[in-house]
Amino acid sequence: MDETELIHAARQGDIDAFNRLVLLYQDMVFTQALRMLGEAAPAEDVAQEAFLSAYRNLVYYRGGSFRAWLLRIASNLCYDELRRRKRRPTVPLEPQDEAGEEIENPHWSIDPGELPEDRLERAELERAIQRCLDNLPEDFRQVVVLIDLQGLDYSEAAQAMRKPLGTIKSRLARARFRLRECLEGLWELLPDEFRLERERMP
Amino acid sequence: MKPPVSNRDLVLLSQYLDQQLNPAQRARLEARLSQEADLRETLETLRKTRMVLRSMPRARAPRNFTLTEQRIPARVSPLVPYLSWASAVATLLLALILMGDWLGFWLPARQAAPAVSYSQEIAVETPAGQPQALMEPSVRATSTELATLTDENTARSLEVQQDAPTEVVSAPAPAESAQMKEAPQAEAEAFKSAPAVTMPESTVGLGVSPVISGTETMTTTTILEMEAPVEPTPATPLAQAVLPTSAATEGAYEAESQVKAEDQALSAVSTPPALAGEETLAEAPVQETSDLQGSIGRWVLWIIEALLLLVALAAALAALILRQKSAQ
Repeated sequence: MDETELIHAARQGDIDAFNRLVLLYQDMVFTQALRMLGEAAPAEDVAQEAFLSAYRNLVYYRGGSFRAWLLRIASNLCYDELRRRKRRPTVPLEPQDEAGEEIENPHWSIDPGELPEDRLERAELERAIQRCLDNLPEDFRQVVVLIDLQGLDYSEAAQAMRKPLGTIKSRLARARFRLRECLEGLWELLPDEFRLERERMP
Repeated sequence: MKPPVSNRDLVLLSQYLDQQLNPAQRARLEARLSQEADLRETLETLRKTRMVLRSMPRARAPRNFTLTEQRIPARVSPLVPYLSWASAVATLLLALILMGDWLGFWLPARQAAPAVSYSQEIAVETPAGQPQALMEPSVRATSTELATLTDENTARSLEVQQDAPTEVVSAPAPAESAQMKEAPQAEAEAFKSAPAVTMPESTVGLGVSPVISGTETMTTTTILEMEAPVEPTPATPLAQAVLPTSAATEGAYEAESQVKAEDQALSAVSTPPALAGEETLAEAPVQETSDLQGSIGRWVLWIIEALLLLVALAAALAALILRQKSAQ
């Protein structure tokens, strides 16, 4: 069954079909929540709530990019969570183990095929990028995560954010420019394959 | 920090990196890039930033978010998207009905009934005559004052009677106030209905024709209109005066009708009865047709109103039931 058939079956109440969609998109939805919120525990809650909400409201899905529709649900829940935080500010928790030590490589970032030193570098890079993202205004953060991290194209991002294409282009450009200082020093930390890719770009 | 290039150029550079420019835009930008150092520098900065962001791998879900049988939430009914407007539609329909009622959309049709019966009552009672002693003193005073105006107003009304009822309304225009908005309708109705009443020959024996008694009714109303702003004691708003809501008003009506009946009986001598009779005959069929149309129109409006109400109720009920179901 392809995605369209799975969606159709899920709309008819086929829970297995819906769960196959969940398995297809759960990393993407969790990533969106994690990068928007900067913390794993609330991101997990948001991802679960996003799929529950998607199942409940599948009737509202009217075609177009299904992943953009899912990401819109997840993003809206993230905005709710961010609003809640503003009302009741809390200290963000770094991932910790049972002894209360900070975990360098939390489970969501572990790549089994990676060498330990590479993993360490990558984890450091991720944390640095996340800190830069956290300092961005929410709307800018959302568009950067959707396009640069999730790989959506402009029209999908416009669908996910319910904004005109022009707004997406403008926000993305300004968000990238705002991030440049914060991310400048990280360029050297990038693995070689990324830096070599530069040569292939316009 | 303010970008070294304009916002528009920043967007162009960002799109250039994402290969979203068309060939012409791309060629123009590349030509500028070869000449403008600021533009080149900004492009390089954006390229690195974009690369760092894209190096970030997608996080892996810490667990499966699949739904279990216990965690399946209630589905939203497929009808909900269509019926989500139901409450708005119901409210709008209700508002339309209420506005129709309040703004007097159907008002002329409804007020006509009491006005007609009352003018008939006056017309029938007028020739029979009632002793003035039965009236309240204040009412009698009013009627006396009214009587002084009768001659001139009767004359005016007789002239006006030849014209359309709407023109009759405009005759006492200078004395009209905002209260009198309803009056023209009732007046017109009284004017139309009075000739249809079978009028016994006046006991005075001077042959007041039905048309004249119709004029009489008109005159009564006209006098009241003129009197209302200047009369302190009966100070009855015209809308009330036209409708039989107060005994005092009724008394005033009867009294003034009686007084004027005498005046009218006298002036009727100079009115050619034949002409009046012709007019009555000529108007009668038109009158019946328009009455019939009026009552049909009233029924149609009533049915529309009832249908709108039913639709509003059904929509509201459907929305309520669906909401209950999806909440479970």
